[in-house]
Formats: sequence, structure tokens, C-alpha cells
Amino acid sequence: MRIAQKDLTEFSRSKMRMASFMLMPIILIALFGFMFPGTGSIGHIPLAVVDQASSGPGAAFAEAFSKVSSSSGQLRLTYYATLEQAKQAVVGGSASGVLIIYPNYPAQGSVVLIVDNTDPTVAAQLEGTVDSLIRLISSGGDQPLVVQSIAPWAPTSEFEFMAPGFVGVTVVMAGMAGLAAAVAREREIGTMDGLMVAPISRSSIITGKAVAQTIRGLIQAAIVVLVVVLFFGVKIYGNPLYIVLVLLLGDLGFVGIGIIATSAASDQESATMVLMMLEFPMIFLSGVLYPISQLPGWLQDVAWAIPLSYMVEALRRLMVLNAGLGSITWPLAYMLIFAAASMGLAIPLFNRAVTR
Amino acid sequence: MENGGITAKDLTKVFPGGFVAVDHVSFEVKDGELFGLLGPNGAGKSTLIRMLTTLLRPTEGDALVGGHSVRTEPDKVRLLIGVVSDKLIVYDRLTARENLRFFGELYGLGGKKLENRIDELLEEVNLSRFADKMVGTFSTGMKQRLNLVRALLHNPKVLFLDEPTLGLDPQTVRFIKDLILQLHESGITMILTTHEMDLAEKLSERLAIVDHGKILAIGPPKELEEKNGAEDLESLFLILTGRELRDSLGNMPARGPRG
Ligand SMILES: Nc1ncnc2c1ncn2[C@@H]1O[C@H](COP(=O)(O)OP(=O)(O)O)[C@@H](O)[C@H]1O
Ligand SMILES: [Mg+2]
Repeated sequence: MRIAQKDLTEFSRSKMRMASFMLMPIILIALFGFMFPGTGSIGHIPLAVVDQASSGPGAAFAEAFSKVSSSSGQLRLTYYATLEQAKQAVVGGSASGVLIIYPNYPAQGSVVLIVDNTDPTVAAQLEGTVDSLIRLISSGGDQPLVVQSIAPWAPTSEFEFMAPGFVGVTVVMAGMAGLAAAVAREREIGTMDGLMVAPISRSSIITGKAVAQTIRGLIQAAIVVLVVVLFFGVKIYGNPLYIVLVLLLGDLGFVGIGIIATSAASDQESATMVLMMLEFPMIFLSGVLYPISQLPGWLQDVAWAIPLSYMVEALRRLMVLNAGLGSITWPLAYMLIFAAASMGLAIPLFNRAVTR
Repeated sequence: MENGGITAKDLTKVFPGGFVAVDHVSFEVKDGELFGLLGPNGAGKSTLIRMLTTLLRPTEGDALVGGHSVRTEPDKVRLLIGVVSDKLIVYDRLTARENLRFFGELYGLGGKKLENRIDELLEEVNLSRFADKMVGTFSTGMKQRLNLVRALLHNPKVLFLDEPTLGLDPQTVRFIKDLILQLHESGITMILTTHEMDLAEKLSERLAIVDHGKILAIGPPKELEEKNGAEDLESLFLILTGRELRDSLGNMPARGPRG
């Protein structure tokens, strides 16, 4: 009992801990509140359409479908000439599915919907929407719609959707906290002085630590990959080299954030606090657990400002969709900029913080 | 002029918040001299040494160490100095040899030459038997002996010893005292801070007594004692710095590089 009392007294005297103690639950609740708005109001799902019916009932259907989807506001259609182009749009992330309309409408199988099964929530939503719109147009008779998945394999579980995100999060958490801890440890035991009095540049000290941390992060990511593959039956379809590249960039970027936090904060405790405050919203918003496309509009903007979102997006496309480098150019470019910017800021900040 | 002398001119450190830890301190240490720095806790000794060793940037003033400015040529200063304090700069999860190899490499040493130097130094502090044991298993005394030779790897011209005997047993204190004398004979310049009056009195050729960031007296110990009518160094210390206990609030102890 005395220990509990002492702990609470100590705790109440640390402003930093108190502030985050109060703020954290508020941030989390607010986040969830915004993430899951009351009604399931999803609109404007991007759909790639390949219209192969130039005349007859198929053409009439295509026209009717275009009308109802725009008037209902549930879908945003983009037309493509070939199925290949449309599929690329999905793999590249600009569409959530492909709708192909064949001339033999309304025979069964004359309308094919290919959903992006890396994002099961959106896929289900898209399937439901398309199905109900088609029912609106073609009352009665055979149901022409057939649903397929973009990846030739069946989505085994929600977990397959999440696994790439978990791999990404591991790297982020390790990068940010691991580096801060490594620097703090050297300071605490005093060995940092030994590095500082040596005739080596300050930049080489932090670069060395960053490299070590990046390697640790990659190893941790590899462990997570192994676990999800071996124990949870997740399959990885993409090129491992590209996956490592994405992880490396993300790792570097977040190690940079870790350095910035340790350099800017007055002490280790506040650095850890700041990092925690960054980590939580990031993990919830970056599409690890819940698709970004399902967030309210403004929160999507926030989500797409978070580097982790791009990392998870790129990983998911690589790992589940077997996307090539061409399909992840944007996320990759963004991550490259992020890694360069964060390291570029981190190194001088660290140098300044240790030279006083 | 690349000798091991030290010239401090108006060296001043004001910590964020306005606390003046070292206040316009000027003094000189000759090449090869063994110089003592005494003062109560919080007097500013470590802060002064941290400025001389390029770990802290002076707010004002400058110092030449081995002829190089700590302000404008810190890298040149770093090549010349070795630093030992009560904070042991050794890694617990490396062996003694790995520790020395790592630090040696930071100074651009390597190969057979470094290995020989490591053997020689470990021999010097009776740690040869433990060369390949994890330092985490060492006693504090063993760690400080290793820490001492760590600072000597690159044959520094100037050695800074900030309370090197803090918390050590009499055997180790004795050992370190002998080592200091031996180093002194080899011509290395040393600045030593300690609370062990006996050590300071026997070792220092000259010493400075500091308090509140200022030098109160400087000179050979015997001379200072006579001048102030003190029978020994301890009474001189108490005469100059007062007898009351040093209690004050709001100042942090000198910490790592972030300070
Ligand atoms: N980073 C710092 N920030 C603020 N005050 C400090 C810092 N480091 C040391 N001080 C203060 O400067 C004074 C001198 O400290 P220090 O040089 O460690 O004294 P000594 O080594 O003589 O015991 C002390 O009052 C200490 O609290
Ligand atoms: Mg001190």
C-alpha cells in the first residue's frame, strides 16, 4: 500500500507524465470516434470499368450502370480500354476493383467484378454496392454478376490484409524507440563521453548508431514475416528484394524521427513520451488495422500525411498483390523523401544537441 | 608549439537557466605537470574539465590544450587528450580486449600494433588474465583499471582524471596512485580532481582550490598551506571553502553530453 502511494506521489510530480497520462486516452478516444463514424457512409469507391459491349442490351446496361452509380454517389467510375490497364489501376492503388461488361448481357457471367482483396472491407463494400446497383437496373431474371478477386488466390483472412501492416509497424516502433533507448543508454552509463572525446565526427557517431538500429529493425521485420508466414499461414507473393527496400527506407526514416526526438527533448522520459504520442495515432490511422479509404474524408488527408501509411500501402501491394516497382512508385518516392528528410534533419540536430 | 601544456583564459560556463558553473577562470598548467583541482561538490570542477576536454562548449573564454583551442580546433585537442572520470567508459557486454580494440580504432589505431598495445596495457593493470572476459563480470576496481588504460591507448599528451578513485577500495586507490606517479614520470601532463586530500597533497605539484566556479587559491600545496596558516591540505581546504555543508537546490549535477 505504501508503495502504491509513493508511486502515485512520484507520478503526480512529473508534469510530463501527468500531461501524457491525461492526453493519451483523450487522443485515443477521439481517434476512434472519428475513425468509426455512426453510419456506414462510404461513398465514391473508385471502380475501373472495361466496357466491351458496344451495342445491344450490354451497351444499354453499361449506360444505365454509369447513371445510377453517379446519381447514387456510391461509385466513382473510370473507363479503361483493356482489362490489363484496368487491373494495373487496381494494383497501383487508384481503383478498388474492375468491372467488365461483356456483350452477352444479361447472361450469367456477363458482368464480372474483380475486387481488390487486399482490402477486404472495401472489397465487401464494393461487391454489395455493385450488386445492389445491378439489381436496380435489371429487375428479375438471372443475376449476371460474377465476382472474382484480383489476386488469383482467395483471401484467407483479414489477417492477410493486416500482416504487411504489422511488419511495417514493427520496424517503426523498433526504429523510433530502439534508437532513443540506445542513445539514452550510452548517456546514462557515460560511454557517450568516450565517443565524444574521440577524434571522430559527431555525425559518424549518430550515423553508426542509426545503421545499427536499421539493421536491428530489419531483423525484427524478418522475424515478424517468418512468424506470420509459418504460424499464421500468410503467403507472400511479392519480390522479397522490393520488400526489403521498402522496409529499409521506412526503417531509416523512423530511426531519423527517433534521433530527432532524443535530440530535441530535454531528457529521455520526454523523448519517450513524445514518441509514444506519435506512435499511437500513427498506427491507428495508417491503414494497418483499418483501411484508410474507410476513414472520413479529412481524416484520410491526415492519414496520407503519415509516412507509415505509404509504407504499409507499398508493403501490402508488394506482399499480397505481387506488384512491381512501377505500381509503388509514389509510395516509394514519398518514403525516399521521408527517409532523406528525416535523416537530413536528424544528424545536424543531434550534432547540435551534443555540442553545448 | 605542440606540447602538453594547458592555458585557460576567462573560461566560463553558464548553463541554460542562467546558472554560472564556471566563472571566468584563467590558469596555466605546464607541460608534464601534475596539477590538482580541489573543491567541494558542485564547485564546478567537472564542468571545467568538460570544457577542457571539448565535451562542453565554453559560454565565454577559451582554453589551449597542447597548443590547440578547445573552441576552434576540438578535433586536434581530442587527439592529444585522454579522459577518465568516475563514470566508467567501458561497455559491459564487450570483453576487455574488445573494449580496447573499439576505442583504439576510434583513434585510428589498428592491426598488429593495436593488438600489441592492448596486450601491453592490460599487462600494466594486471588484467591480462581477463582479456577475453566480459567486462560486466568485472569488479568496479577492475573496470576502473581497464577504463584508465582505455584513456591511454593512443598515448595522450594530456590526461584528465576527474575523481578517478570515487567509490574504489583502498587497494585500487593505491594502484591508481602508483599508476599516476608512473605516468607523471613518463612526462604526461595530468589534471586530477579528487576529494582524497592525501592523494592530492602527495601527488600534485601544484593545485587549485575552486568554489562557486572561481579559483580561490593556486600554487604548490605546501606553499598554500603555509600562506594560509593551515597544518595540512584538509584544513587549508576548509579554511578556504568554509565548513558548512553544501546544500543547494535547483541545479542538476553535471551529466552526459546533453549536460
Ligand atoms: N547540465 C547542467 N545544467 C545545469 N546545471 C549544471 C549542469 N551540470 C552541472 N551543473 C551545475 O553546475 C555546478 C557545478 O557542477 P560540477 O561541475 O559537476 O561540480 P563538481 O564537479 O565540482 O562537483 C553544480 O551546481 C551543478 O549542479
Ligand atoms: Mg564532479
